[in-house]
Amino acid sequence: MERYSLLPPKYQRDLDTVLFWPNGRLYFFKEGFYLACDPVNGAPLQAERKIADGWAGLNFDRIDAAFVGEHGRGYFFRGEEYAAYSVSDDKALGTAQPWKDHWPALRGSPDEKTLWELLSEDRSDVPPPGIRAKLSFFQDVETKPVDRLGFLNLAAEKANRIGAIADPRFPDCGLEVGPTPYRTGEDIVNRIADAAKCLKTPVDEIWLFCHGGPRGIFSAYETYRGLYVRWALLAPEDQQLGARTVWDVPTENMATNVVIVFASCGAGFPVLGQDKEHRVPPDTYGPEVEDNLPRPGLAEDLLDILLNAGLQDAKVYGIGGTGGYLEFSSAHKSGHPGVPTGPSPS
Amino acid sequence: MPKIDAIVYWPPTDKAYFFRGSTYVRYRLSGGEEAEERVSLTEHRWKGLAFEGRIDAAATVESEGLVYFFREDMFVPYRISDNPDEEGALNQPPHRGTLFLTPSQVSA
Repeated sequence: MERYSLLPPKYQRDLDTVLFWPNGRLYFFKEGFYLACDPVNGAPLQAERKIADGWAGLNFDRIDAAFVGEHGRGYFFRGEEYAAYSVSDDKALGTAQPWKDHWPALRGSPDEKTLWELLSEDRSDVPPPGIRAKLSFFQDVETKPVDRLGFLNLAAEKANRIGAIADPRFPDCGLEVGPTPYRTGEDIVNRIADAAKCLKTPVDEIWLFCHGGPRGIFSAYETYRGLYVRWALLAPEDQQLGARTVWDVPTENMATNVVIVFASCGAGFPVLGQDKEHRVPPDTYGPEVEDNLPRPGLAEDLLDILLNAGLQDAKVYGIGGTGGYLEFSSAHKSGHPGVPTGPSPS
Repeated sequence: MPKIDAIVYWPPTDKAYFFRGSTYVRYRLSGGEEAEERVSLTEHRWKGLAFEGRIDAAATVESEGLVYFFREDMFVPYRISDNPDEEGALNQPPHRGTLFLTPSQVSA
């Protein structure tokens, strides 16, 4: 695959339609405009023009798809309508029509489906190859665009490597590989359940690229609406706005060998007791916890939830005191240095 | 409402391919007005296509025996004769066109 490098930047990506017309020109359509190009080198032959200014009688706001058919006719589709276009007369043949009734109209038998019916069917049951029941989350930070971009890049690269489904929202499954933004703990919980429903298989690998501390990972906002340890003291209004604890993680949507990686600060640390002398400021490390006892940190706390739910081969990774990852698993319930890898065969 | 991503019409076989998401529907344009089964993007006619999840656009250049598929900032030419299994597909080797120069060709 190569980039098509001679086009203006706008026409180098996310095109609506590309059309090789019988006059030997190549047309690129994007939004309400088009660009005519030399097909040999892709060089523009003129500045971009509005669709209606160059295609007489074609009154679509943009073009979804187009092709040149038989009898010197081109066909342009937009939403539920299509328009036929005469190549020799260089103008649209009449007004746009609903394609539902014309492409094709007749059935050989009542069992046969029309093009409209076939294209309307929900095909979320047929995931394309390469998409797996894995998620690569990034903290959709509202206040710091640079942080957001960093997390997005890491999550996108990881998603491509492991085939993570992008931002599933059952029943709108999308079915693409890519990163998944989260703004709250509730988003994380919901997307895990959505991924399992969309792919009809339990999720077996989850990466989270975000800020965090021993008590949890943070939300898109500067309040505690992320995902935290069980004993976190969460304000009722933050809970209403999406704060969650590891209790809420949908274990029923996870594989018994699920791997969860907190690529954040401190998830491998324990939560220290909060006696007054060693108190750490909650605004740096997450919300306060209920009592003054030392408690498991986020990764260890989540592992306990997973094991109690019967996910016996689950592994949770969090970054510990040395800056390296610790693995929390049935063999190492209190953590052990380990490099995060995908799920082992269950 | 089914929005169409792209349409390819291949005159030698009179087949039209309507692409939506990760699937396409094939049918004969002027013969019977009969839509055929909806299948995955990379099955049958477009086996081996480098884009799996969806495409943005497709341009058919019959004289070159090629369909150019576009997605995001990439395109890939698909040589129809590389997958001759489909009934009526062309079997002679196509003329390889230069729809776009590569950056190295531009600088040379």
